[in-house]
Amino acid sequence: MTDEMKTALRLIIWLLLFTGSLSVPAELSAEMPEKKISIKGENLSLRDIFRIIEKQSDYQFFYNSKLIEQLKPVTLNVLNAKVEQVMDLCCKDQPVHYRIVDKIIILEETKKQELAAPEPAVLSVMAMTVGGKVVNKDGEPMEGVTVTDKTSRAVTRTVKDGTFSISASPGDVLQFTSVGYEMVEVRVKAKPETIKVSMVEAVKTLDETVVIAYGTTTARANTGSVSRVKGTDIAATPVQSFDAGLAGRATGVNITATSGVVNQAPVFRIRGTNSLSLSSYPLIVIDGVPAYTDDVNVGGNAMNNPLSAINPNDIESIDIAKDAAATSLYGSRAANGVVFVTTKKGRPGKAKLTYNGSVAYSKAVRAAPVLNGDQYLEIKNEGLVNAGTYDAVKNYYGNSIGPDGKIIRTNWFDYLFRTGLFHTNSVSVSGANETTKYYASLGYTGQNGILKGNDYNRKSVLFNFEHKVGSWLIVGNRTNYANDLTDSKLSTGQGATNTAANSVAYRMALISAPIIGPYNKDGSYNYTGLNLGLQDNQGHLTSTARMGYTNPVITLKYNQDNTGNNFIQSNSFLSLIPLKRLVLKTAYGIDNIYSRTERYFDPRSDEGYTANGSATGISAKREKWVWTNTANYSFDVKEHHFDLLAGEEQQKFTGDQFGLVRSGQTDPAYVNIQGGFSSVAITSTQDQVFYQYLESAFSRFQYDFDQKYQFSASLRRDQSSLLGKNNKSGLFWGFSGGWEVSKENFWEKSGLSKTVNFLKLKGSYGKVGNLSGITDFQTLSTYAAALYGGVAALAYSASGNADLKWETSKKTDVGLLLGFWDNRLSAELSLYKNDIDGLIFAVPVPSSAGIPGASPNTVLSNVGKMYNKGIEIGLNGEVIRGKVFNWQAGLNVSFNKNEITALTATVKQLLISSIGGAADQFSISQVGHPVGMIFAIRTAGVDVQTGRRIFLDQSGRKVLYTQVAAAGRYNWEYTDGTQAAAITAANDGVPYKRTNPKLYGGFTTRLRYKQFDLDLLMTFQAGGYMYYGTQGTLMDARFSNNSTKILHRWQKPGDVTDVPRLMDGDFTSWGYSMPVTSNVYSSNYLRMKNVTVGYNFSPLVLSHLQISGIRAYAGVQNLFILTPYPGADPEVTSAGNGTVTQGFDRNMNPNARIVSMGLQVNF
Amino acid sequence: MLRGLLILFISACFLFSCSKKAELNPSPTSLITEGNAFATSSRILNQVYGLYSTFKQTGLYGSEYPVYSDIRAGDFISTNLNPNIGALTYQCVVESGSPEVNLIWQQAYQLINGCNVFLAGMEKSGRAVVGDSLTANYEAEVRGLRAIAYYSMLQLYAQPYTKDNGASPGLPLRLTANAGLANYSLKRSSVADVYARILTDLDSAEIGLPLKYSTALINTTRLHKNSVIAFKTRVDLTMGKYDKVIAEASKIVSSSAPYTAVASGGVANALESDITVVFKSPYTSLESVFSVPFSSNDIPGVPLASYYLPVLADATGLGTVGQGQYYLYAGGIVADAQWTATDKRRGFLFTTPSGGSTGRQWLTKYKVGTPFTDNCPVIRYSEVLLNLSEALLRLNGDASIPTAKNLLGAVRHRSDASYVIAAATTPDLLSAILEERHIEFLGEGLRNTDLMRLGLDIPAKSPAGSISVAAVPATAGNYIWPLPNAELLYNPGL
Repeated sequence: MTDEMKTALRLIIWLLLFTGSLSVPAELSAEMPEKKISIKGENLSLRDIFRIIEKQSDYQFFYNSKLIEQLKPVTLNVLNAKVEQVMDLCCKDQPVHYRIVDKIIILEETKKQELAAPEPAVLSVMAMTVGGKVVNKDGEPMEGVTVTDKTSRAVTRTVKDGTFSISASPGDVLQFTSVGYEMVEVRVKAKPETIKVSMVEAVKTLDETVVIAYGTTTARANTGSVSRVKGTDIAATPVQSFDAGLAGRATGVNITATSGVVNQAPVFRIRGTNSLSLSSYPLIVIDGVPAYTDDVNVGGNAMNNPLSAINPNDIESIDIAKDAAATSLYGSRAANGVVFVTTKKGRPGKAKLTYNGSVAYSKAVRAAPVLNGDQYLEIKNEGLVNAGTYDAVKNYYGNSIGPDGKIIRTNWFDYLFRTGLFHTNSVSVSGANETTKYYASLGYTGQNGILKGNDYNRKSVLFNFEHKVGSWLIVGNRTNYANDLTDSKLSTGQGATNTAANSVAYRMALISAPIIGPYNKDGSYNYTGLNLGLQDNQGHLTSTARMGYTNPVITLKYNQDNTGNNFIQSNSFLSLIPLKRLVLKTAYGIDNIYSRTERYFDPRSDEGYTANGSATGISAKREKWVWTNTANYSFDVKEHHFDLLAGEEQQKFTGDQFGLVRSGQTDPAYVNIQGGFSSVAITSTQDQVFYQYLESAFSRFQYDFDQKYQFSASLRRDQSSLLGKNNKSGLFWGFSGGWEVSKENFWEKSGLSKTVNFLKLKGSYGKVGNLSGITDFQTLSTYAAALYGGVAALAYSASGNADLKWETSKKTDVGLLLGFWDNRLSAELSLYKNDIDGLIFAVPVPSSAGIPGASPNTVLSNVGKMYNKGIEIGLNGEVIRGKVFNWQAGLNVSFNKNEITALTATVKQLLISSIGGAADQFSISQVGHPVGMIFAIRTAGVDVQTGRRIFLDQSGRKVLYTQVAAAGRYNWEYTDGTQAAAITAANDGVPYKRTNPKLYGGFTTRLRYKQFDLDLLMTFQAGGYMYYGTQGTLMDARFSNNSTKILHRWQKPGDVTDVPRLMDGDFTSWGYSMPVTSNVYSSNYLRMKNVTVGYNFSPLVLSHLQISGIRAYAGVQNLFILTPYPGADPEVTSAGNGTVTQGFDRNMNPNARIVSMGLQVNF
Repeated sequence: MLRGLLILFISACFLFSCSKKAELNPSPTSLITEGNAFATSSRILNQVYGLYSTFKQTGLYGSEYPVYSDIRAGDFISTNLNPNIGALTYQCVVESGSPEVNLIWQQAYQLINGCNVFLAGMEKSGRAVVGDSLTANYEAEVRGLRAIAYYSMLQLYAQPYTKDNGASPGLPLRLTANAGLANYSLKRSSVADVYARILTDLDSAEIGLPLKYSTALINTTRLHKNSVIAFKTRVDLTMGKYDKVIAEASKIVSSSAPYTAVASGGVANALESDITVVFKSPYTSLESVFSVPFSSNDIPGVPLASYYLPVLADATGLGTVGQGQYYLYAGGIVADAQWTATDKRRGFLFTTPSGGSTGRQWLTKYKVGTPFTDNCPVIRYSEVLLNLSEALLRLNGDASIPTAKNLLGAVRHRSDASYVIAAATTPDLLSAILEERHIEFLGEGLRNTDLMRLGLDIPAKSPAGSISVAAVPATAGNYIWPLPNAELLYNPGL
């Protein structure tokens, strides 16, 4: 093997196996115990010496073999020498020099002019000039790093290419500091050397920039309660939108990933549920422009989360403002908290090209186990026998023969679920010089969900730039364009259809009988009317007309149902600095969504059967602009720092939505709205016109004394078109203060400061409002166009409330920030209380009042009071602080208590039935209790003697139910056999359990060993309950397939079980149409939400490829969950982001386990 | 320059911080606001039509009121016991939370309040726009609709008047315009009081309504003098006020065959010679006293035909399909031997010829396939004749047998010319009339009222091979519907 080949091989091995790429910068490696070299010999060739060194140490060599042959042999006699000492001897008086990078010794030819000056014979303690270079972990030069000689106090800064030079004496310690990075200290060695320093980003968050309303501050100086999540934490997880990736990352933030449906907005709560009838979704502000949130429904099955317009890879940071101090400048929209999203901007340094790509596979986990064909036959026939209707000739469940001539055994999950695939690719270019910063990115994301026919893709382009003209003018623009398309051929139970509808995908998988299939014997599709037919059971089964609802194979093959959006978000600003500390800024932003829903339902499919084939087209236009003008003046008087902000803002939202449904397909070739259909209707297209206008003036005063005492006050006046004509405006304000105790002399002098190096107290109080969820023109009394057999009509459609005003929240927050042992451990403790007054809710009036509206017989009014109070604890620490091995761990726990303290004089409770369209899901909100409790009829197991379900009536007396009563007996009986009144929810239901958890949080841990890192995120919640409505379906004794739990049914006297005796037709024992407590379970869980292992390739290896960094990672999302909840997932909801209707699970899709791999390459 | 920019900037701020009254108080572009709803005569007319459109919502005469009245009454079998499609009503196990109990109540009261709001608006500003004469017409029309809504609700939520002369609890009687949040606590008026109000409204409607309109379509789809008179015969019969039935019917039924309303001077309502014409487009026969129209642009929520027409697999040869939710109970009226095979009305039945449901009979009175735009009948002239026939017999006994028989014969013989009415005594003839009503109005929502006003039990339904539904005695709690949760919970005055 030639040397060239060996060299090449080495290089390849290094690249492939990373053997040479241990991440210890050479100058720091002395800290580690190192093998010493011993060599004795005369006229040794360098090649031999290097071999010996390789054997005795873990160093490897990299050299040109032609070069080495030209070098003189060397005589050595060294014992326990450092490798550098040996190398120095080898290179002495030779035309070569060496570099050591990451245990690789590189031998390079010294050009004539570079030949080093002869070494001084005597090591001097005199000051000398020390030079070097500072890079970040990606190997990029860092500008502006402060270099301090701790001995002489000399200071300098690195220049653009990251280099510096400073006068220092051997033995001095150079300290390298930069905001946001860990401090690095290097001892100057005896001889001049090039010091190479690699800085890593700081974990301690105290000095990080924090985004606040209309500005920024640092966590240290911030007096409000703000949690920060880094964009990189989100970008590495396979989510379409950043909000879904926030779970468990910050205190006070509760994200419920709803179900394994693509592009579905999660349930997003900051410090509990803060409203009854309005939205509890926080205000999301993206680079200063409030965004659309939750599901933008354009009338199809597809979920449509507008926040997925932002590619998570483009996000720098997410700051979550929780208390009044942090949010009050957003006034009327701040009651649910404000989330500031900051997109990436160029950073000083050379242009940086970054590629991010990942691919992920997902699979549904914990789907309900259902009966196989044989079990199904056993169970269903037993039901017929027990009901007295079994007949071995005329009435029984039997087998069918499929197209393959075999007995049909169908696992319907196979037809509905699949292995999902998620892939995302984005490329960005960014950079900055003294005057211009820029960031541009392209992204493409595609996803096939775990449900068939449920797909998503997004193309996005972002461009961010900022340009400085002299010292007095800055202009900038951010423009994001994204185009996405979400397909949902099958209903997922949200969007256009309710969760109880027959055609919900998960429901089909659960209830379709395993003894029939999607195809008949002759290969034709099995359907009768809307539904799956009986196949060979026809003729001998009279108790049902169907064995399932939709035939999903037809729907998936022929139907179309998608929603696409074009998002255009653009924000331009101009900052004038007419005086030194005065900044005038005007910013104009637009946020537009142009959406289109297209549906086609084949006449053979469940969805298109009744209409004989239909096509739907719905278009929606949402256009919003925000114009903000601010003046900011800050000045110092000695240690007093003042910062004043005044501004005004206008925001307008206009648009419309309209569509058509065409039915009666005239030829199978027509599959879109433009095709041939016999009729046209405008139902289900949600035709509407949008209009909202908000006008505001605001100001803020911030004061800081010596970074020890801070005070701030803010005031905002909002006027909104949404509110009643008598109450258009509202005034909101907040105060906050902070005291950094650890800056006080007494603290610094006390021994305590050695342990507690940072201590800050802060508190705030303020009043904010909520109006999100009030729809346009809702305060007006209006008449809407209608038809009477085609004749124009005008119908009283809404009874408004001219007095409707803001819901107000008075927020109190007290916080404590602690840093221990040089911030090795930081702790954050917050106590908060949010008193909501003038709570808006849709006050129910008697149904006979006949008040019209979108939800009839309710009047949105400011009545009622509620509070949320709680404690948030955040701990972050470096368990092991080391350059080679670093272990950080974080824990955040939030405890929240919610209680309604007043409703109205007439309304003592708010009972909401048919949640998600399911007759058995009831929620109740009452004074003295938390919002949205489960309302249900108590059950007490199964009667051991007769196998009947035991219900408890209002008085607690046992009532036994049987579907078919024997002669002389009753369907509803007391235990003594006398007839009982039928149990009903209205008479016998009780407020049963709370749905919102008492505590929730996350545990993060991040291990870094050399170039490897491991990131774990666990999330948990406790104290809440969920109504498992799916169980009513799974235990239905009609034709539908059952959970394997039904195998434990009562069969003979003495059987102790919670599954009643089977009886055909029984849909009462498990509460299919009424709520029962036997379907209520704790929703406690501990979930391994995310495990990611990453590897950062050595910069040196990559420099040959002109790559400055590669990070490869692989992860698993939702690896496991520990929960007593028997349903697919305790984190699903039938009611979207509904406020009082959380905690109900009817036919909700399981969540997915996702395995992902990704690569980030920096050029 | 800096100073200039600064001034510009600040003045811009001031400029745009001026209050934006118009922007803050927008007028919706697709809705008419309260203040303008009575501004023009065409808007007022549109409002009248708007109340009819409320009247034909799903819960009322869009389909549910007639369907739910029939599926409990013994002639239909639920195909798949789906509680969202009436299975609880079918099984007579509805409770306060059942969807239909809430929906029908809610939509009836939406109509009632809509009528009240309209009446108040007419007095406040509409009268000045359209003048006294049209105001009288419109107000009469609206009172008529309100009366039908109250009447329909009484048939489900209250004990029959005949049980105790209306002493049982009836409905909260809402007669004033409701808007916004107010104290709406109100007790139930007695059944008698509600009927009294219904009759007052119908009487005043009779006075105020026009005799007829310009087209046959309007004559069948809007209330006119004869239609409220016809409806009064139903109300009076339900109350057992047979003398009043006769008095009302006499206004629109000639004294001898062929029976017509020609003499009334209004719409010349009469029996159609072929009953199938009544249920066919254009639905404007003179027999159709009042029915509600649909069109392909204005389709019913859950249409009648989709309940009753069989699904494709069961509809071989029928030429139209629905969702097959309810088929005819083989032990119900279809089993009646007196309903001969030659009777034209047997043509409204379809028997599945093949497949798993061979032999099942389906009602095809409403036969238009998707989007199911059959008119929904409210009252037909044949009912007036049978109402009169029954009232004469019940009031006068044997003395009225010939007239009663003639009236009955008019209805029977147009569909079954050769049938001989054998009944010779008053009781026999009464049961023949009841049987005739049972056949004639199958699927039109009258059977439930016929049972209840006569204090009859709701018969059992025992389909072969499926679950039976027991008979419900007139004394049982589930003989009538409970009030809905939405009322029980929020009306403390009950």
